[in-house]
Amino acid sequence: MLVLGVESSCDETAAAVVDHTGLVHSDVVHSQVKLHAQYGGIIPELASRDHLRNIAPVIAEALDRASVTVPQLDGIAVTQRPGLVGALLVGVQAAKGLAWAAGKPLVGVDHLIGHILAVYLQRSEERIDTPSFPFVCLLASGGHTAIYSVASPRPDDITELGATRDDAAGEAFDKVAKLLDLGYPGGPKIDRLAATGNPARYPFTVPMAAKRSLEFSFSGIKTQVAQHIERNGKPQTESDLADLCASFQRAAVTSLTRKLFTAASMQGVRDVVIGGGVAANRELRATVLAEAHKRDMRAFLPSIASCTDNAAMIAYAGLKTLERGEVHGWDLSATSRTVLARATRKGRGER
Amino acid sequence: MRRICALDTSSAVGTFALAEVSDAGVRVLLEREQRVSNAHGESLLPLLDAACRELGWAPKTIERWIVGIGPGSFTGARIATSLVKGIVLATEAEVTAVSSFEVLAFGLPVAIAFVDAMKGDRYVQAWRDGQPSEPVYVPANALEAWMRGAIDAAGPSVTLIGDVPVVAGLGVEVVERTPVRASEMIGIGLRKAAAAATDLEPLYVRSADLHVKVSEAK
Repeated sequence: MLVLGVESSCDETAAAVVDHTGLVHSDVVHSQVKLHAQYGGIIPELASRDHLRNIAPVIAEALDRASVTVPQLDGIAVTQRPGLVGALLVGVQAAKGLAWAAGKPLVGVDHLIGHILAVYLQRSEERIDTPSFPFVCLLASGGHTAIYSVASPRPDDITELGATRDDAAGEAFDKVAKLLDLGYPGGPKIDRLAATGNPARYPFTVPMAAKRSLEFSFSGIKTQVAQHIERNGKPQTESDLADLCASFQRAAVTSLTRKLFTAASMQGVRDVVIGGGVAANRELRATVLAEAHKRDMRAFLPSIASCTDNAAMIAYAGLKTLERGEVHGWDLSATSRTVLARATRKGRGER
Repeated sequence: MRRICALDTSSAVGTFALAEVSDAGVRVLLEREQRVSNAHGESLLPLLDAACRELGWAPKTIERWIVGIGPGSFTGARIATSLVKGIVLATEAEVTAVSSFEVLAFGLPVAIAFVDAMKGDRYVQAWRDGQPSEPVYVPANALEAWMRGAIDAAGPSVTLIGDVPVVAGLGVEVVERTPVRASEMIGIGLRKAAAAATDLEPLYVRSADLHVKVSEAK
Protein backbone atom coordinates (compact mmCIF):
# COMPACT_ATOMS: atom_id res chain seq x y z
CA MET A 1 0.00 0.00 0.00
CA LEU A 2 1.35 3.42 -1.02
CA VAL A 3 -0.01 6.58 0.57
CA LEU A 4 0.70 10.23 -0.17
CA GLY A 5 0.79 12.43 2.92
CA VAL A 6 0.20 16.18 2.90
CA GLU A 7 1.02 18.49 5.80
CA SER A 8 0.40 22.23 6.18
CA SER A 9 -0.67 22.70 9.80
CA CYS A 10 1.85 25.35 10.74
CA ASP A 11 4.94 26.69 9.00
CA GLU A 12 6.05 23.72 6.91
CA THR A 13 4.51 22.73 3.61
CA ALA A 14 5.26 19.05 3.22
CA ALA A 15 4.39 16.00 1.17
CA ALA A 16 5.66 12.44 1.34
CA VAL A 17 5.05 8.97 0.00
CA VAL A 18 5.17 6.08 2.48
CA ASP A 19 4.34 2.40 2.13
CA HIS A 20 2.70 -0.10 4.51
CA THR A 21 6.05 -1.11 6.01
CA GLY A 22 6.68 2.47 7.06
CA LEU A 23 9.35 2.92 4.39
CA VAL A 24 9.61 6.54 3.37
CA HIS A 25 9.84 6.71 -0.44
CA SER A 26 10.04 10.48 -0.46
CA ASP A 27 9.75 13.28 2.07
CA VAL A 28 9.70 16.87 0.87
CA VAL A 29 9.53 19.74 3.35
CA HIS A 30 9.39 23.40 2.42
CA SER A 31 10.13 25.38 5.58
CA GLN A 32 8.81 28.89 6.19
CA VAL A 33 11.25 29.57 9.03
CA LYS A 34 13.03 32.38 7.16
CA LEU A 35 9.70 33.98 6.28
CA HIS A 36 8.61 34.23 9.91
CA ALA A 37 12.01 34.68 11.60
CA GLN A 38 11.95 38.48 11.23
CA TYR A 39 8.73 38.63 13.28
CA GLY A 40 9.92 36.34 16.06
CA GLY A 41 6.98 33.99 15.53
CA ILE A 42 4.54 32.64 13.02
CA ILE A 43 2.26 35.06 11.20
CA PRO A 44 -0.82 32.96 10.32
CA GLU A 45 -1.80 34.86 7.18
CA LEU A 46 1.75 34.79 5.81
CA ALA A 47 1.86 31.06 6.55
CA SER A 48 -1.37 30.44 4.62
CA ARG A 49 -0.19 32.44 1.63
CA ASP A 50 3.11 30.62 1.51
CA HIS A 51 1.42 27.21 1.81
CA LEU A 52 -0.78 28.05 -1.17
CA ARG A 53 2.24 29.05 -3.27
CA ASN A 54 4.11 25.87 -2.45
CA ILE A 55 1.54 23.13 -1.97
CA ALA A 56 1.37 21.93 -5.59
CA PRO A 57 5.12 21.99 -6.30
CA VAL A 58 5.84 20.21 -3.01
CA ILE A 59 3.32 17.43 -3.75
CA ALA A 60 4.61 17.10 -7.31
CA GLU A 61 8.18 16.83 -6.04
CA ALA A 62 7.23 14.19 -3.46
CA LEU A 63 5.64 12.05 -6.19
CA ASP A 64 8.58 12.64 -8.49
CA ARG A 65 11.22 11.74 -5.89
CA ALA A 66 9.30 8.56 -5.04
CA SER A 67 8.97 7.74 -8.75
CA VAL A 68 5.27 7.30 -8.14
CA THR A 69 2.38 8.55 -10.26
CA VAL A 70 -0.98 9.57 -8.85
CA PRO A 71 -2.75 6.45 -10.24
CA GLN A 72 -0.27 4.25 -8.34
CA LEU A 73 -1.31 5.69 -4.97
CA ASP A 74 -3.67 3.74 -2.75
CA GLY A 75 -4.79 6.74 -0.78
CA ILE A 76 -4.16 10.32 0.22
CA ALA A 77 -3.73 11.41 3.83
CA VAL A 78 -3.76 15.01 4.97
CA THR A 79 -3.27 16.80 8.26
CA GLN A 80 -6.74 17.93 9.22
CA ARG A 81 -6.11 19.00 12.82
CA PRO A 82 -4.84 20.58 15.04
CA GLY A 83 -3.12 23.71 13.76
CA LEU A 84 -3.65 27.09 12.18
CA VAL A 85 -6.98 26.70 10.42
CA GLY A 86 -6.06 28.90 7.45
CA ALA A 87 -2.85 26.94 6.96
CA LEU A 88 -4.54 23.56 7.40
CA LEU A 89 -7.21 24.49 4.87
CA VAL A 90 -4.69 24.81 2.06
CA GLY A 91 -3.42 21.27 2.51
CA VAL A 92 -6.87 19.84 3.13
CA GLN A 93 -8.35 21.46 0.03
CA ALA A 94 -5.43 20.47 -2.19
CA ALA A 95 -5.53 16.89 -0.91
CA LYS A 96 -9.28 16.72 -1.39
CA GLY A 97 -8.99 18.05 -4.93
CA LEU A 98 -6.28 15.56 -5.78
CA ALA A 99 -8.11 12.61 -4.22
CA TRP A 100 -11.43 13.54 -5.81
CA ALA A 101 -9.99 14.06 -9.28
CA ALA A 102 -7.92 10.87 -9.10
CA GLY A 103 -10.67 8.75 -7.54
CA LYS A 104 -8.53 7.90 -4.50
CA PRO A 105 -9.62 7.39 -0.89
CA LEU A 106 -8.99 10.38 1.37
CA VAL A 107 -8.25 10.35 5.06
CA GLY A 108 -7.78 13.22 7.49
CA VAL A 109 -5.07 12.80 10.09
CA ASP A 110 -4.56 14.34 13.51
CA HIS A 111 -1.10 15.94 13.48
CA LEU A 112 -0.41 14.73 17.04
CA ILE A 113 -1.12 11.12 16.10
CA GLY A 114 1.28 11.61 13.21
CA HIS A 115 4.00 12.64 15.67
CA ILE A 116 3.20 9.72 17.99
CA LEU A 117 3.50 7.21 15.11
CA ALA A 118 6.55 8.89 13.50
CA VAL A 119 8.73 6.40 15.35
CA TYR A 120 7.52 3.68 12.94
CA LEU A 121 8.95 5.44 9.88
CA GLN A 122 11.77 3.64 8.15
CA ARG A 123 14.08 6.04 6.39
CA SER A 124 16.67 3.58 5.09
CA GLU A 125 16.84 0.04 3.79
CA GLU A 126 18.21 -1.04 7.15
CA ARG A 127 15.12 -1.43 9.31
CA ILE A 128 15.10 0.14 12.75
CA ASP A 129 13.38 -1.42 15.74
CA THR A 130 9.93 -0.11 16.54
CA PRO A 131 7.97 -0.14 19.80
CA SER A 132 5.29 -2.63 20.70
CA PHE A 133 1.85 -1.52 21.80
CA PRO A 134 1.08 -0.43 24.43
CA PHE A 135 3.75 2.20 24.98
CA VAL A 136 4.04 5.61 26.57
CA CYS A 137 4.88 8.57 24.37
CA LEU A 138 6.16 12.00 25.28
CA LEU A 139 5.09 14.44 22.58
CA ALA A 140 6.88 17.75 22.92
CA SER A 141 6.84 20.53 20.37
CA GLY A 142 6.25 24.25 20.05
CA GLY A 143 2.48 23.95 20.49
CA HIS A 144 1.97 20.75 22.43
CA THR A 145 3.56 18.98 25.33
CA ALA A 146 1.85 15.90 26.69
CA ILE A 147 2.37 12.30 27.67
CA TYR A 148 0.13 9.69 26.09
CA SER A 149 -0.61 6.07 26.73
CA VAL A 150 -0.76 4.49 23.28
CA ALA A 151 -2.53 1.12 23.04
CA SER A 152 -2.90 1.21 19.23
CA PRO A 153 -2.83 3.77 16.39
CA ARG A 154 -6.57 4.37 16.83
CA PRO A 155 -7.44 7.77 18.33
CA ASP A 156 -9.71 6.02 20.85
CA ASP A 157 -6.75 4.02 22.11
CA ILE A 158 -4.52 7.04 22.72
CA THR A 159 -5.04 8.54 26.18
CA GLU A 160 -3.54 11.72 27.52
CA LEU A 161 -1.94 11.04 30.88
CA GLY A 162 -0.76 14.59 31.48
CA ALA A 163 0.04 17.73 29.57
CA THR A 164 1.37 21.20 30.06
CA ARG A 165 -0.75 23.61 32.07
CA ASP A 166 0.68 26.61 30.23
CA ASP A 167 3.48 26.91 27.66
CA ALA A 168 4.56 24.02 25.51
CA ALA A 169 8.18 22.93 25.93
CA GLY A 170 9.20 24.19 22.49
CA GLU A 171 7.44 27.46 23.17
CA ALA A 172 9.56 27.89 26.31
CA PHE A 173 12.72 27.26 24.26
CA ASP A 174 11.58 29.89 21.74
CA LYS A 175 10.73 32.42 24.43
CA VAL A 176 14.02 31.95 26.26
CA ALA A 177 15.86 32.27 22.96
CA LYS A 178 14.02 35.54 22.38
CA LEU A 179 15.07 36.79 25.83
CA LEU A 180 18.64 35.98 24.90
CA ASP A 181 18.38 37.57 21.43
CA LEU A 182 19.08 34.23 19.77
CA GLY A 183 16.39 34.63 17.13
CA TYR A 184 13.60 32.32 16.02
CA PRO A 185 13.27 29.38 16.21
CA GLY A 186 15.18 29.09 19.43
CA GLY A 187 15.24 25.38 20.17
CA PRO A 188 18.12 24.33 17.92
CA LYS A 189 20.18 27.38 18.96
CA ILE A 190 19.79 26.71 22.67
CA ASP A 191 20.58 23.05 22.07
CA ARG A 192 23.78 23.98 20.26
CA LEU A 193 24.93 26.50 22.87
CA ALA A 194 23.96 24.24 25.79
CA ALA A 195 26.28 21.54 24.49
CA THR A 196 29.30 23.60 25.60
CA GLY A 197 27.80 25.07 28.77
CA ASN A 198 27.71 24.12 32.43
CA PRO A 199 24.16 23.00 33.31
CA ALA A 200 24.83 23.21 37.04
CA ARG A 201 25.86 26.86 37.06
CA TYR A 202 22.34 28.28 37.39
CA PRO A 203 20.16 25.92 39.44
CA PHE A 204 16.73 26.62 37.93
CA THR A 205 13.89 24.85 39.70
CA VAL A 206 12.20 22.03 37.83
CA PRO A 207 8.52 22.93 37.93
CA MET A 208 5.65 20.57 38.75
CA ALA A 209 8.18 18.24 40.31
CA ALA A 210 5.66 16.27 42.41
CA LYS A 211 6.49 12.65 41.82
CA ARG A 212 3.05 11.40 40.82
CA SER A 213 1.97 14.35 38.71
CA LEU A 214 2.26 13.92 34.97
CA GLU A 215 1.43 17.55 34.27
CA PHE A 216 4.02 20.05 33.08
CA SER A 217 4.56 23.76 33.43
CA PHE A 218 7.15 25.56 31.35
CA SER A 219 6.22 29.17 31.81
CA GLY A 220 7.86 29.04 35.24
CA ILE A 221 11.26 28.05 33.85
CA LYS A 222 11.03 30.80 31.28
CA THR A 223 10.17 33.27 34.06
CA GLN A 224 13.17 32.10 36.09
CA VAL A 225 15.41 32.87 33.10
CA ALA A 226 13.72 36.25 32.63
CA GLN A 227 14.23 37.10 36.31
CA HIS A 228 17.84 36.00 36.12
CA ILE A 229 18.38 38.37 33.19
CA GLU A 230 16.56 41.15 35.02
CA ARG A 231 18.87 40.74 38.02
CA ASN A 232 22.14 40.09 36.24
CA GLY A 233 21.68 41.45 32.74
CA LYS A 234 22.10 39.46 29.55
CA PRO A 235 25.12 37.15 29.38
CA GLN A 236 28.15 39.10 28.25
CA THR A 237 30.36 36.22 27.19
CA GLU A 238 29.83 33.14 25.04
CA SER A 239 30.62 31.05 28.08
CA ASP A 240 27.97 32.75 30.24
CA LEU A 241 25.44 32.40 27.43
CA ALA A 242 26.25 28.71 27.03
CA ASP A 243 25.93 28.15 30.80
CA LEU A 244 22.55 29.87 30.90
CA CYS A 245 21.29 27.84 27.95
CA ALA A 246 22.62 24.63 29.45
CA SER A 247 21.01 25.35 32.82
CA PHE A 248 17.64 26.18 31.30
CA GLN A 249 17.78 23.15 29.02
CA ARG A 250 18.71 20.87 31.91
CA ALA A 251 15.66 21.98 33.89
CA ALA A 252 13.35 21.48 30.89
CA VAL A 253 14.81 18.11 29.93
CA THR A 254 14.73 16.90 33.53
CA SER A 255 11.04 17.72 33.77
CA LEU A 256 10.24 15.99 30.47
CA THR A 257 12.29 12.89 31.22
CA ARG A 258 11.18 12.39 34.80
CA LYS A 259 7.52 12.51 33.89
CA LEU A 260 7.94 10.25 30.88
CA PHE A 261 9.44 7.50 33.01
CA THR A 262 7.01 8.09 35.88
CA ALA A 263 4.20 7.60 33.36
CA ALA A 264 5.78 4.44 31.99
CA SER A 265 6.15 3.08 35.48
CA MET A 266 2.55 3.94 36.39
CA GLN A 267 1.29 2.31 33.18
CA GLY A 268 3.51 -0.72 33.63
CA VAL A 269 4.94 -0.53 30.09
CA ARG A 270 8.47 -1.25 28.99
CA ASP A 271 8.56 0.82 25.79
CA VAL A 272 8.83 4.60 25.81
CA VAL A 273 8.72 6.85 22.76
CA ILE A 274 9.41 10.52 22.20
CA GLY A 275 8.13 12.66 19.35
CA GLY A 276 7.65 16.23 18.18
CA GLY A 277 10.16 18.95 17.40
CA VAL A 278 11.63 19.00 20.92
CA ALA A 279 12.44 15.28 20.50
CA ALA A 280 15.24 16.47 18.20
CA ASN A 281 16.96 18.03 21.24
CA ARG A 282 20.22 16.19 21.77
CA GLU A 283 20.19 16.32 25.57
CA LEU A 284 16.63 15.01 25.72
CA ARG A 285 17.50 12.15 23.38
CA ALA A 286 20.63 11.22 25.33
CA THR A 287 18.87 11.47 28.71
CA VAL A 288 15.89 9.35 27.61
CA LEU A 289 18.20 6.67 26.21
CA ALA A 290 20.35 6.63 29.34
CA GLU A 291 17.36 6.52 31.68
CA ALA A 292 15.75 3.69 29.72
CA HIS A 293 19.00 1.73 29.83
CA LYS A 294 19.26 2.24 33.59
CA ARG A 295 15.72 0.93 34.08
CA ASP A 296 16.06 -1.96 31.61
CA MET A 297 13.43 -0.39 29.42
CA ARG A 298 13.36 0.27 25.69
CA ALA A 299 13.44 3.86 24.37
CA PHE A 300 12.49 4.61 20.76
CA LEU A 301 13.60 7.87 19.21
CA PRO A 302 12.47 8.90 15.75
CA SER A 303 15.14 10.19 13.39
CA ILE A 304 15.57 13.96 13.47
CA ALA A 305 13.69 14.28 10.16
CA SER A 306 10.77 12.42 11.72
CA CYS A 307 10.69 14.66 14.82
CA THR A 308 10.12 17.98 13.09
CA ASP A 309 6.92 18.55 11.12
CA ASN A 310 6.84 16.30 8.07
CA ALA A 311 4.31 14.60 5.84
CA ALA A 312 5.78 11.10 6.09
CA MET A 313 4.29 10.72 9.56
CA ILE A 314 0.95 11.94 8.21
CA ALA A 315 1.11 9.43 5.36
CA TYR A 316 1.88 6.62 7.79
CA ALA A 317 -0.86 7.59 10.26
CA GLY A 318 -3.27 7.88 7.32
CA LEU A 319 -2.17 4.52 6.03
CA LYS A 320 -3.02 2.94 9.38
CA THR A 321 -6.47 4.54 9.18
CA LEU A 322 -7.00 3.27 5.63
CA GLU A 323 -5.89 -0.21 6.70
CA ARG A 324 -8.78 -0.18 9.18
CA GLY A 325 -11.12 0.54 6.27
CA GLU A 326 -11.86 4.11 7.36
CA VAL A 327 -12.22 6.77 4.66
CA HIS A 328 -13.31 10.39 5.02
CA GLY A 329 -15.78 12.27 2.86
CA TRP A 330 -15.34 15.28 0.60
CA ASP A 331 -16.68 17.43 3.42
CA LEU A 332 -13.49 16.86 5.43
CA SER A 333 -12.80 20.06 7.30
CA ALA A 334 -9.85 21.68 9.03
CA THR A 335 -10.02 22.37 12.73
CA SER A 336 -7.69 23.83 15.32
CA ARG A 337 -8.41 21.20 17.97
CA THR A 338 -6.92 17.75 18.33
CA VAL A 339 -9.17 14.69 18.33
CA LEU A 340 -7.35 13.44 21.43
CA ALA A 341 -9.26 14.15 24.62
CA ARG A 342 -7.50 16.51 27.01
CA ALA A 343 -7.07 15.44 30.61
CA THR A 344 -5.09 18.45 31.77
CA ARG A 345 -6.77 21.73 32.45
CA LYS A 346 -4.82 24.78 31.34
CA GLY A 347 -4.03 27.47 33.88
CA ARG A 348 -3.01 27.67 37.51
CA GLY A 349 -4.74 26.37 40.61
CA GLU A 350 -5.48 23.24 42.57
CA ARG A 351 -6.40 20.08 40.75
CA MET B 1 -17.18 19.95 -26.99
CA ARG B 2 -15.08 21.04 -24.01
CA ARG B 3 -16.20 20.74 -20.42
CA ILE B 4 -15.36 23.58 -18.08
CA CYS B 5 -16.00 24.51 -14.50
CA ALA B 6 -16.02 28.01 -13.03
CA LEU B 7 -15.99 28.45 -9.27
CA ASP B 8 -15.62 31.19 -6.70
CA THR B 9 -15.46 31.10 -2.89
CA SER B 10 -14.06 34.55 -2.21
CA SER B 11 -17.29 35.88 -0.69
CA ALA B 12 -19.91 34.47 1.67
CA VAL B 13 -21.63 32.93 -1.35
CA GLY B 14 -19.90 29.92 -2.82
CA THR B 15 -20.72 29.50 -6.49
CA PHE B 16 -19.81 27.17 -9.31
CA ALA B 17 -21.04 26.49 -12.80
CA LEU B 18 -20.50 23.58 -15.16
CA ALA B 19 -20.62 24.38 -18.85
CA GLU B 20 -19.89 22.95 -22.26
CA VAL B 21 -18.08 24.96 -24.89
CA SER B 22 -18.36 24.30 -28.59
CA ASP B 23 -18.11 26.29 -31.81
CA ALA B 24 -21.73 27.23 -31.21
CA GLY B 25 -20.84 28.92 -27.95
CA VAL B 26 -21.06 28.31 -24.23
CA ARG B 27 -23.90 26.32 -22.71
CA VAL B 28 -24.20 26.51 -18.93
CA LEU B 29 -25.59 23.15 -17.86
CA LEU B 30 -25.76 23.72 -14.16
CA GLU B 31 -25.06 26.46 -11.66
CA ARG B 32 -25.08 26.27 -7.89
CA GLU B 33 -24.82 28.93 -5.21
CA GLN B 34 -24.69 28.47 -1.50
CA ARG B 35 -24.44 31.11 1.19
CA VAL B 36 -22.31 29.64 3.94
CA SER B 37 -20.53 31.21 6.84
CA ASN B 38 -16.86 30.16 6.93
CA ALA B 39 -17.77 26.75 5.56
CA HIS B 40 -16.78 26.73 1.88
CA GLY B 41 -14.11 24.20 2.81
CA GLU B 42 -16.71 21.69 3.89
CA SER B 43 -19.45 22.48 1.40
CA LEU B 44 -17.78 23.17 -1.94
CA LEU B 45 -16.48 19.75 -2.94
CA PRO B 46 -19.56 17.73 -1.89
CA LEU B 47 -21.73 20.09 -3.95
CA LEU B 48 -19.38 19.94 -6.91
CA ASP B 49 -19.17 16.16 -6.66
CA ALA B 50 -22.95 15.86 -6.62
CA ALA B 51 -23.27 18.21 -9.60
CA CYS B 52 -20.72 16.27 -11.63
CA ARG B 53 -22.54 13.03 -10.83
CA GLU B 54 -25.81 14.62 -11.88
CA LEU B 55 -24.32 15.40 -15.28
CA GLY B 56 -22.42 12.14 -15.49
CA TRP B 57 -19.09 13.97 -15.61
CA ALA B 58 -15.88 12.42 -14.33
CA PRO B 59 -13.57 15.06 -12.80
CA LYS B 60 -10.82 14.24 -15.28
CA THR B 61 -13.08 15.16 -18.21
CA ILE B 62 -13.17 18.82 -17.12
CA GLU B 63 -10.63 20.48 -19.37
CA ARG B 64 -10.54 23.97 -17.89
CA TRP B 65 -11.04 25.38 -14.40
CA ILE B 66 -11.92 29.05 -14.20
CA VAL B 67 -11.17 30.16 -10.67
CA GLY B 68 -12.44 33.25 -8.89
CA ILE B 69 -9.52 34.88 -7.10
CA GLY B 70 -11.40 37.65 -5.31
CA PRO B 71 -10.54 40.01 -3.83
CA GLY B 72 -12.55 39.24 -0.74
CA SER B 73 -12.02 36.80 2.08
CA PHE B 74 -8.40 35.67 2.02
CA THR B 75 -9.29 32.26 3.41
CA GLY B 76 -12.36 31.96 1.20
CA ALA B 77 -10.38 32.68 -1.95
CA ARG B 78 -7.81 30.08 -0.95
CA ILE B 79 -10.51 27.40 -0.64
CA ALA B 80 -11.20 27.33 -4.37
CA THR B 81 -7.61 28.01 -5.46
CA SER B 82 -6.10 25.26 -3.35
CA LEU B 83 -8.81 22.79 -4.35
CA VAL B 84 -8.14 23.45 -8.03
CA LYS B 85 -4.39 23.15 -7.52
CA GLY B 86 -5.01 19.67 -6.14
CA ILE B 87 -7.41 18.72 -8.94
CA VAL B 88 -5.01 19.85 -11.62
CA LEU B 89 -2.21 17.76 -10.12
CA ALA B 90 -4.29 14.73 -11.03
CA THR B 91 -5.85 15.85 -14.30
CA GLU B 92 -3.41 18.38 -15.80
CA ALA B 93 -6.41 20.46 -16.84
CA GLU B 94 -6.07 24.10 -17.85
CA VAL B 95 -6.52 26.85 -15.27
CA THR B 96 -7.57 30.47 -15.62
CA ALA B 97 -7.93 33.06 -12.87
CA VAL B 98 -10.69 35.65 -12.96
CA SER B 99 -11.05 38.49 -10.47
CA SER B 100 -14.35 39.80 -9.15
CA PHE B 101 -13.36 43.20 -10.55
CA GLU B 102 -13.19 41.75 -14.05
CA VAL B 103 -16.69 40.35 -13.70
CA LEU B 104 -18.15 43.55 -12.26
CA ALA B 105 -16.58 45.87 -14.82
CA PHE B 106 -17.20 43.60 -17.81
CA GLY B 107 -18.80 45.45 -20.74
CA LEU B 108 -18.65 48.86 -19.09
CA PRO B 109 -16.56 51.50 -20.90
CA VAL B 110 -15.67 53.41 -17.73
CA ALA B 111 -16.24 51.82 -14.36
CA ILE B 112 -15.14 51.70 -10.77
CA ALA B 113 -15.73 48.29 -9.22
CA PHE B 114 -16.22 47.85 -5.47
CA VAL B 115 -15.86 44.66 -3.46
CA ASP B 116 -16.59 44.31 0.26
CA ALA B 117 -13.45 44.19 2.40
CA MET B 118 -15.35 43.84 5.73
CA LYS B 119 -16.01 46.46 8.41
CA GLY B 120 -17.15 48.97 5.81
CA ASP B 121 -13.84 48.91 3.95
CA ARG B 122 -13.69 48.21 0.20
CA TYR B 123 -11.40 46.81 -2.43
CA VAL B 124 -11.62 49.03 -5.47
CA GLN B 125 -10.44 49.00 -9.06
CA ALA B 126 -11.05 51.58 -11.78
CA TRP B 127 -11.50 50.47 -15.41
CA ARG B 128 -11.38 52.39 -18.69
CA ASP B 129 -11.96 50.68 -22.05
CA GLY B 130 -11.29 47.31 -20.54
CA GLN B 131 -7.99 48.38 -18.98
CA PRO B 132 -7.74 48.18 -15.19
CA SER B 133 -5.87 50.42 -12.80
CA GLU B 134 -3.95 48.95 -9.88
CA PRO B 135 -6.53 47.59 -7.36
CA VAL B 136 -6.50 49.31 -3.99
CA TYR B 137 -7.82 48.81 -0.50
CA VAL B 138 -9.72 51.80 0.87
CA PRO B 139 -10.68 51.94 4.57
CA ALA B 140 -14.25 52.98 5.39
CA ASN B 141 -13.29 56.36 6.78
CA ALA B 142 -11.43 57.30 3.58
CA LEU B 143 -13.97 56.00 1.08
CA GLU B 144 -16.02 59.12 0.40
CA ALA B 145 -13.00 61.29 -0.34
CA TRP B 146 -11.45 58.51 -2.43
CA MET B 147 -14.67 58.08 -4.43
CA ARG B 148 -15.08 61.79 -5.17
CA GLY B 149 -11.48 61.97 -6.37
CA ALA B 150 -11.85 58.86 -8.50
CA ILE B 151 -15.08 60.13 -10.07
CA ASP B 152 -13.42 63.47 -10.90
CA ALA B 153 -10.62 61.57 -12.62
CA ALA B 154 -12.92 59.15 -14.46
CA GLY B 155 -15.50 61.69 -15.64
CA PRO B 156 -19.30 61.77 -15.48
CA SER B 157 -19.79 58.70 -17.68
CA VAL B 158 -18.33 56.40 -15.04
CA THR B 159 -20.45 53.62 -13.59
CA LEU B 160 -19.90 52.64 -9.97
CA ILE B 161 -20.62 48.94 -9.66
CA GLY B 162 -20.54 46.24 -7.05
CA ASP B 163 -20.74 46.76 -3.31
CA VAL B 164 -20.87 50.52 -3.73
CA PRO B 165 -20.81 52.57 -0.51
CA VAL B 166 -23.80 54.85 -0.03
CA VAL B 167 -22.58 58.40 -0.60
CA ALA B 168 -25.00 61.20 -1.44
CA GLY B 169 -24.63 63.54 -4.39
CA LEU B 170 -22.10 61.67 -6.50
CA GLY B 171 -23.95 62.45 -9.73
CA VAL B 172 -22.99 59.25 -11.55
CA GLU B 173 -24.69 55.93 -12.29
CA VAL B 174 -24.52 53.44 -9.44
CA VAL B 175 -25.20 49.73 -9.99
CA GLU B 176 -25.48 47.98 -6.67
CA ARG B 177 -24.82 44.29 -7.12
CA THR B 178 -23.17 41.49 -5.25
CA PRO B 179 -21.94 38.82 -5.32
CA VAL B 180 -20.27 37.44 -8.45
CA ARG B 181 -21.94 34.44 -10.10
CA ALA B 182 -19.79 31.64 -11.46
CA SER B 183 -21.54 31.64 -14.83
CA GLU B 184 -20.47 35.26 -15.31
CA MET B 185 -16.84 34.23 -15.01
CA ILE B 186 -16.98 31.76 -17.89
CA GLY B 187 -16.87 34.15 -20.84
CA ILE B 188 -14.08 36.18 -19.26
CA GLY B 189 -12.10 33.08 -18.34
CA LEU B 190 -12.36 31.60 -21.81
CA ARG B 191 -10.95 34.78 -23.38
CA LYS B 192 -7.80 34.43 -21.33
CA ALA B 193 -4.89 32.14 -21.98
CA ALA B 194 -4.50 29.23 -19.59
CA ALA B 195 -2.09 29.92 -16.74
CA ALA B 196 0.17 27.57 -14.78
CA ALA B 197 -1.68 26.19 -11.77
CA THR B 198 1.34 26.94 -9.60
CA ASP B 199 0.84 30.65 -10.34
CA LEU B 200 -2.79 30.58 -9.24
CA GLU B 201 -3.14 32.98 -6.31
CA PRO B 202 -5.92 35.04 -4.78
CA LEU B 203 -5.93 38.73 -5.56
CA TYR B 204 -5.13 39.78 -2.01
CA VAL B 205 -4.78 43.54 -2.66
CA ARG B 206 -4.20 44.05 1.06
CA SER B 207 -1.07 42.84 2.82
CA ALA B 208 -1.25 40.29 5.62
CA ASP B 209 -1.99 41.36 9.19
CA LEU B 210 1.23 40.89 11.09
CA HIS B 211 -0.26 39.19 14.10
CA VAL B 212 2.21 36.75 15.63
CA LYS B 213 0.92 33.41 16.79
CA VAL B 214 3.96 31.54 17.94
CA SER B 215 2.53 28.45 19.50
CA GLU B 216 -0.73 27.72 17.75
CA ALA B 217 0.19 24.56 15.97
CA LYS B 218 3.78 23.49 16.40
